[in-house]
Amino acid sequence: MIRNRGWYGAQIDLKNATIYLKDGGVGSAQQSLEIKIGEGTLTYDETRNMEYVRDRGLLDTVTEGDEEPIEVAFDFTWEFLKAVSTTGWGTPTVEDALKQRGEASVWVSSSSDPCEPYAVDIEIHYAPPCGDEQDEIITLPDFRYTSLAHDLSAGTVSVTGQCNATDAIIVRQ
Amino acid sequence: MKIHGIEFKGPNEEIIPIIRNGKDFILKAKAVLDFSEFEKLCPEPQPPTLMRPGGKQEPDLQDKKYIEALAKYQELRAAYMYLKSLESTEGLEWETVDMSKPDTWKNYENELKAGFTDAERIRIMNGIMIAQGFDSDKVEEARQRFLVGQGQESSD
Repeated sequence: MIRNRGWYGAQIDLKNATIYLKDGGVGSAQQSLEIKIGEGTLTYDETRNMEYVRDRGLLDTVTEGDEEPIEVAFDFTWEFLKAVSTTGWGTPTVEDALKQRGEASVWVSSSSDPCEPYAVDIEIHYAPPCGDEQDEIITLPDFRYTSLAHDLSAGTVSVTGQCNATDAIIVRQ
Repeated sequence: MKIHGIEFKGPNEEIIPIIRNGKDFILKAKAVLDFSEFEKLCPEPQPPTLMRPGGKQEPDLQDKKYIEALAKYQELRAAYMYLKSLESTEGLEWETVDMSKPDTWKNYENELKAGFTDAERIRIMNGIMIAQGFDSDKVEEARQRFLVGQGQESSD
């Protein structure tokens, strides 16, 4: 049996993008943090394990192996953070939104399973500078960070983590 | 509250007669003084807050979604005022408006259009505005009467 790790990855120049961190609220109850990016990059990698089964030395059939979570890394400088306060408090920081603390303490997990650790959806709104290219909205669902560095005074964020999903959801408009 | 001994009791009311087939239909428009029920159903939208590097926060009054939400809020407030104002009309029933559902409030426009001419609709709207104290012509006339009176007093 041959194991092959199929891979799809994308690196997005965030100069023309706005990132939204969204909680699991529904409709007007959904909390979100808009992050206007100064400069930086976001990378996400999708991996697919394929198992090729041979029959007496000849390729015979293919089965799909274990699913792998999307790996996400972003590193950027933000110009501003924006949020509608539903609590009468101010705007949460990126760190608050990822950790469900401070001004994001009322956020609810994007995961439908209440027993899982807290997660958020990442939505990247990418508007290419060329007018004839379509805008893209890339959603990375149920993201949980594994490492995080955030400097509020400099407006820099560096995060890696994984999504409990195999594929990013891409909508072009 | 009293001014020169005259007490301001209850809301102002305007009578709006509509004549159809020789018959008089009287609509009543009463000033709406209390919007607390409206505020419960449609809380005023709040602008998002911007945070800049360093942590400084400020409201973003130019936010597109906030401006849209504010415009919708103002439209709904006006629709609520028209409907509440006309509630004092005896026997008035709306077929497509449910006061517990703000999304239905603006249906009053279509119902008025279906039943009244442009001139009648303008009279109804003017009646509501007068009851509410928005009649700028009447206010200006009153101001002029007051100023003329002041002038006469000073020349005496």
